[in-house]
Amino acid sequence: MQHLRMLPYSGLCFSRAAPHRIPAVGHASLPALSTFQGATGVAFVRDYYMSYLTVAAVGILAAVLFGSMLGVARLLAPRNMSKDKLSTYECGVEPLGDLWSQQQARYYIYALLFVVFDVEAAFIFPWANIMGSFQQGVAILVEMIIFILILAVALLYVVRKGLLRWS
Amino acid sequence: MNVDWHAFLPEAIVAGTVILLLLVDLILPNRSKWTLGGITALGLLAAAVPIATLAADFADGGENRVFFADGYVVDELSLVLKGFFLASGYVALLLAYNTIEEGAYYRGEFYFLLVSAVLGMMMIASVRDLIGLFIAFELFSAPGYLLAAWKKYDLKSNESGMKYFLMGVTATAIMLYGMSLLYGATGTLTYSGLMEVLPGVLDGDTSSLAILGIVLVIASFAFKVSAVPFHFWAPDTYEGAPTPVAAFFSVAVKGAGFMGLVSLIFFALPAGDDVWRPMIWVIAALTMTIGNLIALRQENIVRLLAYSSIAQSGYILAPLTVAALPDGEGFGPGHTESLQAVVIYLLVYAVMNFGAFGVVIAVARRTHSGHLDSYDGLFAHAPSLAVVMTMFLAALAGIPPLAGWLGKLAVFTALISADEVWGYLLAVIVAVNAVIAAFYYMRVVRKMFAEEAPEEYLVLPPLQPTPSLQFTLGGLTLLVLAAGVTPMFSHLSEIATNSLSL
Repeated sequence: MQHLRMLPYSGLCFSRAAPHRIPAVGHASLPALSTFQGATGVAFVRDYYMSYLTVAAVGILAAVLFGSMLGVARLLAPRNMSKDKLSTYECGVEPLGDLWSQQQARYYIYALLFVVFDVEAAFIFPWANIMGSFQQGVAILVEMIIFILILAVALLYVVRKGLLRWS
Repeated sequence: MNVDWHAFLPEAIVAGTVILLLLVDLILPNRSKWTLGGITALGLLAAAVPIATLAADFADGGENRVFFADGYVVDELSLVLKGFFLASGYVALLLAYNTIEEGAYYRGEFYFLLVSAVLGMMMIASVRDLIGLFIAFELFSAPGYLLAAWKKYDLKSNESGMKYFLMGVTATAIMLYGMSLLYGATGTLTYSGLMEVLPGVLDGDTSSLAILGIVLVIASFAFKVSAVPFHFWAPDTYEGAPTPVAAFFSVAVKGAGFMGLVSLIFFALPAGDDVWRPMIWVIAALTMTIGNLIALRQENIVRLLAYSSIAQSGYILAPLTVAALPDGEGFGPGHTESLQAVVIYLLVYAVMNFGAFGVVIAVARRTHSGHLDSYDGLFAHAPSLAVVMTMFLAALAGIPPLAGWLGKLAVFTALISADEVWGYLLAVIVAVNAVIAAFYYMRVVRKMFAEEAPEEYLVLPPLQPTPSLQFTLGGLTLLVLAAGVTPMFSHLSEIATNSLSL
């Protein structure tokens, strides 16, 4: 349990160590967010910051690793710069104009459509994960088909209103 | 995953209507789009049929129908409110019909969004789960932002939509934050779970989380019902939005806000009454007083009705202060009375407010103005409208035998039944406010009968509202009379309170 209680949720932590404060709500019962149950005062502060030690260690390790790799590459690699190599897209597209160029307002329709189907995907993944564990798999499949069809109506709407045509 | 399809049929029909409207709108050529209004009306009426059969089932001693993992309950309260939302949607459709058909607006989308909002409202009547509450809340709010900005080339309408959107999104964010705190403190999302866990949590170490959560969730609903100090959007939004949409906001959206508040207070957070009771007391007192005082100085009829509707929100909030008073094991006096008062007042308020907005729409078709001066001498050039408007305004002021007094009576009964000092005090504040409100309602009446009408209108024949407006105003006039002298609304609200005993 110790590692659970040490999570640095700003002094609060998910803890199963205090069952008396978690009233049972049948199967729906979940661990409540309760205050830190351990030491108090100076010991509390020390424990609290000690729990960041792992984070600090990983951070230092990351800095050392990346620094050494980049440093070695810098030392060993030959450098022979030319104008083409310094351009933003080396693969050929010439960068034109100002950095702060304006985008077409009509791109927002694509952004909106993207969000519609992004949300759809976000719903489908967890659904696909638990689908096998349910008794009435067919009913759940039909529900998802209905959900996708309703969203397809949105796409149909967009097509019929001519929003996908670039005019 | 056993879904009680009979219980879910009203929502299913409305959802089907939403999809059907969108598809038919895509297929139909422009000249036959008038059929969309008919499809909307038929869909809303068809959804009323299963509500009637469910109500008949409850009358035969049927049980509450619970499904979606305890998150959806069809009880008598939810049925009454669903009927109310369907009727509100239907009336809003009738009020909007001519405006939308004549204005070269996007007809298909308008009906589609209107019915979507009605679907969200019907869901909020049944959800007993914080996630479901959030989805239903968004489903009726989001179409509202678009409907408010419907007059695309009108600056005021754009301003109205933008203000409503920003305020609405703030309310949503506040509600989500409150919900996440409640979930963090209690570990449950369903109302039944909250009922069980919350008393213990409020006595424990994490009580401050739960208290903050309750305050934030209640505040977000105060936004939706335009209660002071969260009311600033209401007058600007109502003024800029198309008037039928403003009527829909002031009745149906507000009703949905109250339904969410009521279901939270009665079915999820009774244990937190120490938190929300003083909060609602202060909000209610401020809302009615400030709403009425600012309404005194309004020169635009829609803004006047907006401030009047803010004040009426205060009256509807007031009885909630005596809900869920702890009394031994159960709840003390005033618990059922307060729910009854809220339901009666919502029904009565819908009739009279829709009526007043209907007259405003009809008059604006001739005067093209919302200024109070355009009501000068209305009796001379539109006698029937002036008489009907007088009835609705008198009802709003609470003058018997028109329906309004019934709601006020229920509010007073509830407040006094608690037999607490602060209950009596709030009742006194309501009484004082009723007097203030009468002044500005009667000011409009005086203008209609006592002032001189402009020459240009006097030479015209008496103003005839369009058929759909005639039908709506006629029906609402009959209702405002009938509800004041017959016990129909009291009966409905008594049915609704049956949900508390189960």
